[in-house]
Amino acid sequence: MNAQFKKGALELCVLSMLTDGDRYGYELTDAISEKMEIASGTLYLVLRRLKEENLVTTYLRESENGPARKYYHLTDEGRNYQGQLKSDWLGFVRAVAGIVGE
Amino acid sequence: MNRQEYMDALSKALESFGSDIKDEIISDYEEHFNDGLANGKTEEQIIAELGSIEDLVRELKDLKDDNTSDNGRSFENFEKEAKKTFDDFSKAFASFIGSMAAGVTNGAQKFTDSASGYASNMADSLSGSFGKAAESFGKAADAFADKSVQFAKDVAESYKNNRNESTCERKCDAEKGEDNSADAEDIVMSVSYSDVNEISVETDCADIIVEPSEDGCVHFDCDYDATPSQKLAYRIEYGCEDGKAYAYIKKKSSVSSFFKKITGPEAIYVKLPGSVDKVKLASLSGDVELSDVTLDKRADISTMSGDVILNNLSVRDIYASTMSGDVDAVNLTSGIAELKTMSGDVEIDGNVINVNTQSTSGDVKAKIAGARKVKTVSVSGDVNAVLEGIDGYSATVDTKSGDINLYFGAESHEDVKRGSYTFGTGACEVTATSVSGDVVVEA
Repeated sequence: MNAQFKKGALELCVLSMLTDGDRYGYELTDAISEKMEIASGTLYLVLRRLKEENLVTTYLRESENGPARKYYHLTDEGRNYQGQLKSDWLGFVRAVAGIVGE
Repeated sequence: MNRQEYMDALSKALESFGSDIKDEIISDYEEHFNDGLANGKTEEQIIAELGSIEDLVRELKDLKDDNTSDNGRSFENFEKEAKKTFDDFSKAFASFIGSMAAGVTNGAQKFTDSASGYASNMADSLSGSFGKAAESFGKAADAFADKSVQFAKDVAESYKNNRNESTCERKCDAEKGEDNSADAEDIVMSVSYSDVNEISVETDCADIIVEPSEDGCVHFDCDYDATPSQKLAYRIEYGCEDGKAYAYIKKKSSVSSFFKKITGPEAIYVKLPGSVDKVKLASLSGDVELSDVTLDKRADISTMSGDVILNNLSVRDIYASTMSGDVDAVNLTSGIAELKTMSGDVEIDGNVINVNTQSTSGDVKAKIAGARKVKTVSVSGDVNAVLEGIDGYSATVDTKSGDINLYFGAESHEDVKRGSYTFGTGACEVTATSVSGDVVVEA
């Protein structure tokens, strides 16, 4: 797969899961790898990069059982970017569907 | 493999990425194990889920490369790049020395083959001169290496200086709540400021194009026809305080679009009124171009791979340096002009009192009128100094393997030895040296 494409698609998945609330790593990676064949390790790198780009921030919160978990929160900039990626993606999917047929 | 073994292997594999990255990934993975186990998975299942350590390392490396590629090149990487350029250059120089040595060996071989009667005498004299040549070559190589390291440092330093001051100015503005930065939505810049005497412009890939202003105001214009994700990726800042106006175009992050890298604005257009007497212009990969501008004080220009192009510039002092770009000055009028490049060419013509032009692997060509001091230096390129409007010069000339030709009026001295030569009054002091290139001085 085109590396740039994969990167964009995974960013979109992760950011989209954060639009309706903060989540911790396992929640995010488990939900995504349930739907597609992707190493959770890759997703942690995506999260790391999004954090570096200031598209998400992280904070620690105590869990009921065991040590504190790292939660991811979508920044305003991240929300803008998610919107942009999403419309890029939908436009792309529509265009491809129009050519290859449903 | 169990959890312990997997985490040990991971820790080892991440060693080279620095403790920040390593610690974060280790803690993410530990957390993932805890949650996975709590959800009823086995260690083996979780290991399979996380994926192979080799793949992770490869992806991390790709990310790193991505960040240092041309578009994502940050100012922080400047010194690193400078060092790399120097290393590449050193390698080229080493191979150049190597080829010289090979030439010597060939000569020796030919000589042995000829086996004539006075062979032994010749052998002595030859080995003597080869020995000396090799020695002076070694010295030249050392001196060159020192110089190049210094040069790379100077360029990096001048870059940082330009940058540090600007950062300070920006901070002042932010504190006073006068930050005029463009929003992500508003990336088209078109501003003007009056009563300005100093400007600073910094870009990563945009060209900086400077022309005279007709209304007494400084103008910064940047038309960026960008897609929304491009707008998110680039940041334009500008402002003015205490007579200093600044504009910066920087890549904010390495956010990607689906299929292609994001490119930034192509150029920033600057209009300069006569009130401005000092400019600082810095770009990483963009060109810096000044046309028909007059500055009473100084111009500092630095680029990494962009060219420096000066047309009809009049300035008291100018310092321009680039790593791999060319420096091209046409009709420059200046008191002091210092123009340096590492791997590009330098070409200047104009009216300059004290000119210092240097390249390491490129050619240097200076055509100067009314100069008192002229320095043209290269290592592997040719050097050519043409002096006009003077009644004599004293030249220090040197090259290891090129020719030296000196001309003064009708006098012509071709293929002369290294050393000092005086013509006419000797008033203009000329230094013209190369290591492997030709040296020509004309007046």
